[in-house]
Amino acid sequence: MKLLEHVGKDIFKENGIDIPVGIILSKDFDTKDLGRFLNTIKDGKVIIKAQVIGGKRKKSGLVEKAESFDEAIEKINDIFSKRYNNSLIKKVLVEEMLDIEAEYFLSILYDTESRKPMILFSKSGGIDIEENEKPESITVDILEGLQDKDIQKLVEGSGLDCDAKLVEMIKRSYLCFIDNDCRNLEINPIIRTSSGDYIAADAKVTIDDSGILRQEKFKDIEEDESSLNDREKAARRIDQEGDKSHRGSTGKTYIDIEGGEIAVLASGGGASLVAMDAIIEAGGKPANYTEYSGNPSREKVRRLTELTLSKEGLKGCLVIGGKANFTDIFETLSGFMDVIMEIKPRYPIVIRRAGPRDKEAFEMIRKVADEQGFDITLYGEEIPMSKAAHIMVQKIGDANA
Amino acid sequence: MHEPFLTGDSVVMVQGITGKEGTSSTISMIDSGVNVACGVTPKKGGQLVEGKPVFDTVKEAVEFNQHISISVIYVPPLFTWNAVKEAIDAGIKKIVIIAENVPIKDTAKIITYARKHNVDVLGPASVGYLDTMVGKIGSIGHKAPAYTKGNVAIISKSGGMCSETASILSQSGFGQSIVVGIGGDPLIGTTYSDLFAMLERDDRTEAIVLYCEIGGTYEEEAARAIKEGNLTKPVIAYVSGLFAESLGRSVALGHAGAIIEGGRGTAVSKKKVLRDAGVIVADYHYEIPELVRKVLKDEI
Repeated sequence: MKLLEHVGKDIFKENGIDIPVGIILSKDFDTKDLGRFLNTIKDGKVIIKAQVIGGKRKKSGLVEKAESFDEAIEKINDIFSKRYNNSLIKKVLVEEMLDIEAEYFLSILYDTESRKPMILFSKSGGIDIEENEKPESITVDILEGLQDKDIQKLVEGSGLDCDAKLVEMIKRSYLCFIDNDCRNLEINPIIRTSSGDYIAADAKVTIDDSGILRQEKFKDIEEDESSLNDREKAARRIDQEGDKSHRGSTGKTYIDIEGGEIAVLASGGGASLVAMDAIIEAGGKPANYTEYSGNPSREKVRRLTELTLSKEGLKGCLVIGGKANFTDIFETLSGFMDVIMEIKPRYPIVIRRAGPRDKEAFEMIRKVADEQGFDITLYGEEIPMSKAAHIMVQKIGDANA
Repeated sequence: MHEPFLTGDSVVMVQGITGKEGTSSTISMIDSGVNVACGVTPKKGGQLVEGKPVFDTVKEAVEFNQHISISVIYVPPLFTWNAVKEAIDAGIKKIVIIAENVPIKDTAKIITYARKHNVDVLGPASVGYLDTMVGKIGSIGHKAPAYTKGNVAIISKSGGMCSETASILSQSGFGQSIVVGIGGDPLIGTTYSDLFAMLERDDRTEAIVLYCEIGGTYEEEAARAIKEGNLTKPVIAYVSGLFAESLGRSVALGHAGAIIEGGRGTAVSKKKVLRDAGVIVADYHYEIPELVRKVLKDEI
């Protein structure tokens, strides 16, 4: 889960990392709250930042400066009138303007080469860090913990003198990363003020979706979904809502693809990737990416199918997966057929699946297809997965010819 | 890894043997010809699963059978690190982790701890390991028609694609020697290249098929190892996730590790790196058997 800047900063604060003084405002904010806050800022100068997940905030006009109460109101309203990724801005963070002596970059992540936590640091922070020189990096023995001498090596390697306050900040950032089950923690920039303090002026934090289950504090934090469309949001709820069964994962990832023509319902992580690629390789246009696995209930598959097939402009549907070990093929494909019976699509459907009760499932589908005149082609393991995807694309070509 | 993970002499223990998957896997491992000695589930000591004794701790299990060489771990993801540590502390040198969704922090600890104790870890999220002449460990299948005896090794980030890849090879008459599911997590205990030395020494194996995915650096690491001459046998690779680049957002697809971050780890770049190292890259997954045929007949 990616955290909004202000949520990330709350965690920084808990871990003893200094952050700017600020106030979070929603669209219907009380101007008195803003006024009281501005009175606590010594020169009244503030920076206003839209709280959205994603990059290029500044370039999108979602970060503004203000030097007076009136200007702040104007800029805040201006930001609230804008959109980011087609979504409304829900919150802005208003913070004291820091007096900047220098801007640094800090990022902590897991490095796949060393298979260890890695800390990256650069003395050239700011928005264009990617274009600057390569940051200095160190890896950490996660069982020994981060040692002061390693931090010293990191800071000095970047061309700075080692400052105890900076070392302390990096140490606390690492502990924050570890203790909160972070996947990534980036502070860009760390601001060194003229009084020699180090302050986290931004926070980009991603919590590990597997580790978040043991982090009580994140239980009530709502994930920011402003980058998702309604269908994508609804797909995410399938596993939590309506159905009492906890089996399986259904629509955890659902992505709409603009201009797509082939609805895809894939089972298995690898199979879902192979199927998508195979459609494109054959010249087809997938309408979505999604995946279900782990023997979900009929109802869950029905809901995912309903969402997937609710898209306009579909010309075909591919249900694809390998040979399941324990997913009940009859139950899951029954959920699929519930929707087919309801919407009665005229486009071709290709199903490639095998596993427990597959014969029963195929028999049921054949019967329904015959009765209703559906164009459904069924394959088991005898046809390679990527071939089945090619056949789907061919069938659409034939239907349109 | 220089020696095969599983041999005819291996003695296996199952941590989490009383769970649904632990039990069904125990049955199929025994069926494949593997010697499963016992299992461990805290507070369930004294029970029997498929006639095999269950102990509360790994220590007791190791006292019961001093020849245990492999532990297969079927405990839930949040308990996996403790289970692995317990096995390593009891002297087990080979561990297979089946659980998906192990927190990345715990995996980093597992890998570091295993390295300090010279332990080989397969997974997390591994479907298992199959030697068609010996048997299997974990949830991987072992029966025809998908799996048949032969001389092609498969290493795959995806469990499902182990059987899909084996299946299309078997249909074309190419049986398998060793099939390994390394898992699709961002951090894994055994990478493609960690298996190269063992496969290079395995007399049966004449060609190696890699099922690869976007994200991370393990394909790049494999290419580097091949370039350095650590594997001289022919390698055929398929990289999935080409479509991900057109999505325009950074999201994990199918597996936690299958994510393009900061424009790195794309299918295009991985294919190029592998090709540059002399790997034969299949553009379509179903082309793999034909490429294997050509390689084995020296047509490529």
